[in-house]
Amino acid sequence: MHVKYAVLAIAASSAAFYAFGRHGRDAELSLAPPAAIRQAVAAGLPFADNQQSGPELAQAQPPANPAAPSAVQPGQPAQRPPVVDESALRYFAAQGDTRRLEAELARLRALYPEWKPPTDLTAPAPTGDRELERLWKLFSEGKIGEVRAAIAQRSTSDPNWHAPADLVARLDAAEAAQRLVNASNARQWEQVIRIGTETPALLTCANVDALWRVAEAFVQTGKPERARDAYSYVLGNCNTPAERVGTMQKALATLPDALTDGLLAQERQTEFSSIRDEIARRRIGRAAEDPKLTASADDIRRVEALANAATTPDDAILLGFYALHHNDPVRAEALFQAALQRKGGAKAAEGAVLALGANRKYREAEALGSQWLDAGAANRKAYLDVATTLITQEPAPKLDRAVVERIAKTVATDRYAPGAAGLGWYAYNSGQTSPAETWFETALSWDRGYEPAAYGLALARQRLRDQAGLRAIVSDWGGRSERIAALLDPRRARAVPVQEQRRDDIAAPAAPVTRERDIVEPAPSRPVRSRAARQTVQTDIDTEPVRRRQAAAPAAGSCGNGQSGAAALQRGWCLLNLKRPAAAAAAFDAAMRSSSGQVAADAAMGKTYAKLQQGLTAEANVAAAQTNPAPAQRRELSALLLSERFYAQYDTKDYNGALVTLSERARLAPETTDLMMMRGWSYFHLGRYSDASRVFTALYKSNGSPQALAGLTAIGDVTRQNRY
Amino acid sequence: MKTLLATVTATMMVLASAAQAALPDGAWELYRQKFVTSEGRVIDDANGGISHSESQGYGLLLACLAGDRSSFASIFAFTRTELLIRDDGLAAWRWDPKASPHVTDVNNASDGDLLIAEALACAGARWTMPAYTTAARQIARSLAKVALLKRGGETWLMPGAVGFSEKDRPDGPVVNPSYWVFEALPALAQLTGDQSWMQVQASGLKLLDTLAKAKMLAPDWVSIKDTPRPADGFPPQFGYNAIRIPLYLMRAGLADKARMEPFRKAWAGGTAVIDVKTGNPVEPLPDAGYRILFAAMACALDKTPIPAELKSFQPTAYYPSTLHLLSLSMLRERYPQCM
Repeated sequence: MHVKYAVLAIAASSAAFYAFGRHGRDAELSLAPPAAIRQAVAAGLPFADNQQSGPELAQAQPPANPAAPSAVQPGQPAQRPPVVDESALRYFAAQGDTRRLEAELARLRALYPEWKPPTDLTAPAPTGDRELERLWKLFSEGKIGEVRAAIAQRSTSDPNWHAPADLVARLDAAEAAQRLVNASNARQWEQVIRIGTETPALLTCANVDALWRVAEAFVQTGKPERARDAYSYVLGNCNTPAERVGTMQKALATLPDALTDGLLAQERQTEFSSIRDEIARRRIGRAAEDPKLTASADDIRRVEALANAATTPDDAILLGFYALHHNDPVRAEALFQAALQRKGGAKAAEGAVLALGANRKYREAEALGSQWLDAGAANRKAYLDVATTLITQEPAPKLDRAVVERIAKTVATDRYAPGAAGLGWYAYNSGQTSPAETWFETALSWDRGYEPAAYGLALARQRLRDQAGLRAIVSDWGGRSERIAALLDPRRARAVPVQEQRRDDIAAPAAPVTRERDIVEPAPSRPVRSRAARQTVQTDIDTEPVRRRQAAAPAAGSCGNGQSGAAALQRGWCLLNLKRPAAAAAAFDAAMRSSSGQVAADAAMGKTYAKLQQGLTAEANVAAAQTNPAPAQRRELSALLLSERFYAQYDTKDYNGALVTLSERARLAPETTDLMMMRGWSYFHLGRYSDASRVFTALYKSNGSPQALAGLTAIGDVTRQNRY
Repeated sequence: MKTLLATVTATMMVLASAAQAALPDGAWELYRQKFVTSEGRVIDDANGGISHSESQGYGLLLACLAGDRSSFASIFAFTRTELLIRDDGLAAWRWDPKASPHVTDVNNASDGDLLIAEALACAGARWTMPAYTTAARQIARSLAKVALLKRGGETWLMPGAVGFSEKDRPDGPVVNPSYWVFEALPALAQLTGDQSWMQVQASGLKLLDTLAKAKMLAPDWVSIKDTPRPADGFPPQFGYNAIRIPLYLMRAGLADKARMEPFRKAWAGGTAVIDVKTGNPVEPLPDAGYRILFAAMACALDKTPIPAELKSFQPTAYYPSTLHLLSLSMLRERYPQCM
């Protein structure tokens, strides 16, 4: 025997959320007598006291009326003949209202499982009561208020007349349905539960929406198990496919896995297969983000089958990231390449770059990543990671000029300290110690706490015999970095293994100074490098102060005046170190005319750097344009140059000029968070506190940054000082 | 003991009078046709056609006074289905036909709840409908939990569940003296056996008497944080809210001459919104539904005859029309000689 009529009972024990009661002859078997339900309700709901939750709140008839509404007063069948009220059924049939007819049939079948619907539904209703017909008509038109008014009217004029119990019950249910929707829309969850509990007739397959809303109310009031029970009721009893799938989706969206597993088991045939796909994807997605989680073989098989069957890239990307973060970069690479072929876009490219990097295919990774630099922050991050790893390798790889240039440019645009340090190692490992020193300094200026850059700087100064410079680094960093301290302490240098420090996956090469002799003789096409190596490869650890670089004669002549391309290049770096970027740029210009491609490439990089350091005049823009003819790149570099000019102006306290520069830059590129912050400080220093406050507030609201808060605090301090 | 006796007496009077009170012939019908829809919604036509717990409450009360059981049933059906949806069982105060969902502010308004409860008690008694009485009792109990504030020996009726307390506003608590529907308070005390409602009545009267002594007309919104004063952020006016106060006092039989005096004096030059700080009129209130408020006071206190044109009812806008009918029913019940 099917149990179709659900009485929503919130039992105190809650072991059975739904107690199933039946009406009719054997209703004494009812599991949930109404008194018990009401007590349970009172116990379970904070605001409902006993009087509040009784059925009286419904607009019942005066007590003189013996016909209690059947649907809202279950459990008193002994006093009621098991006569099925078919008047509504007949009315809807006569009206041709098949939707309501079906709903009424379902309702009566649920109430009276042994009842057989009459075959002559279209025959006139036996009542012959014109006015009653009018009431049903009003009801079927949804005119609840008018039915209420008409019933009251007739009760007044004819005290012996009583509205049919069925009509009253259906009115109550219709009102309760509307009320439940209203309460749910107003997020009055306790009221939603109360209405559902008081009107169990509402919670049937004829109104799955009401069941969903009650379930949502249970979720919102912290009773997920009861929500589960409501969903389970739908899956156990209701047949509309869309509602069944919708139920499962709602359950998945709001309930923890532990509660949805049982619901999934209520699947009929394979109706939830798309949902199961989604679940598998969700689990793999979670595991892809958290390497500690492992996806089940079933889930992986399922999504693999989906990925193979599809022509879209999403599942391949999902599996790619899972493989990448679960020690299978080879597979990840294949998946991301497949995704790229399926037009997987930026996400596929990001994954492919990371996977190639994980497979030590740094050149390929850099080349691919360079094509996606405009796709978003994640792509730039992936690119910078692999590019930095590429240039940090030992021995320094031989790279095309274009590659080094674009790495330098991207690093500079993002002010990415590990990248600058990486370029430092690249120069250092290529024997170009002066440019290495400059890059390490740059890295430190972008991130003052970045130890690998300090270490690189110390090694570069050591190799340049800049003893004072080395001591400065050691005194600054010795307390924080054992390997830096060890540089001036030969005993420790020998005793303490130099630790390789890593940040992200960027390797700062371990003590390359001890391996300087091992540097292979550079290829003939790289004369600068071989020359530089020869110059420095003399003694590996020479703590004797030979000369102080800064104290050396500042004349250009001290950097040499050779006319070859290689000499000009070397002079360029030397001048740059002397903080003479203009003269350095001229030297790099000369070097760029060299017949050697490598010299020219290195010179171009040097010149870009010289211009950056120079404070970036209009001339610098032209220089940049020469090396980067594409308009988009020019814009990017111009923006970069303007950023540098801004910082220069800011440092010299030319705040008005700095703001003008920022405005100029804003025409080329959106303002970065860093620059916005500096804009705020520029306003601050100019005493434009309200402008400053606006900027800091915007920043604080957008990312909650403590720096922005510090700005706001500073304004508060100053303005308060002004007031008192 | 004396208080209890007074309560019971007052309650019996309210209930008995409700059953006997009547409106002029056809007056309610005119009102109903203009402001009550067939679905039972009472429309505030001057406010963009919205409805609120106050309009539904007035509609229910007038239907009961008019003996219109049928309209009462439909208005209550609407009220219950659309507004009585809060977790605490009180009515959401604002319902906009143009908005979806229609309830645009789920906060309650305590005067709306009071009116609905009083009207349900009236209907339950008048037509022997325990369901209505029970519903009235539920609202009264919930309102006592949610909106009564015991503070410094007084029991205040807060205007709503949220927004007016000490922690909600720097000048809080803030109350609205016109939310004291005085006639409802003894009925609620009797329904629930909760004497807090009589303390609410006492605090309300004390507030009015304090303001009268300070020669200040009651503002719509009053900060009771310290000495009562107009609440911040509201115009310091005896305005559309507060003009109901003398009517409520008369309806409840609490119209002592000294208590009424400030209101009568303020309107000596004609009914108007009054600036409580200067005593000057801000905006005239020429509608019959407003003028009868003054005429009723004058007749009740000094037996000044009421102009004939005010004794008959023609609907204008929802609010003055409502006050007009409440005034007429009050005069017929308490001051038949004025009619």
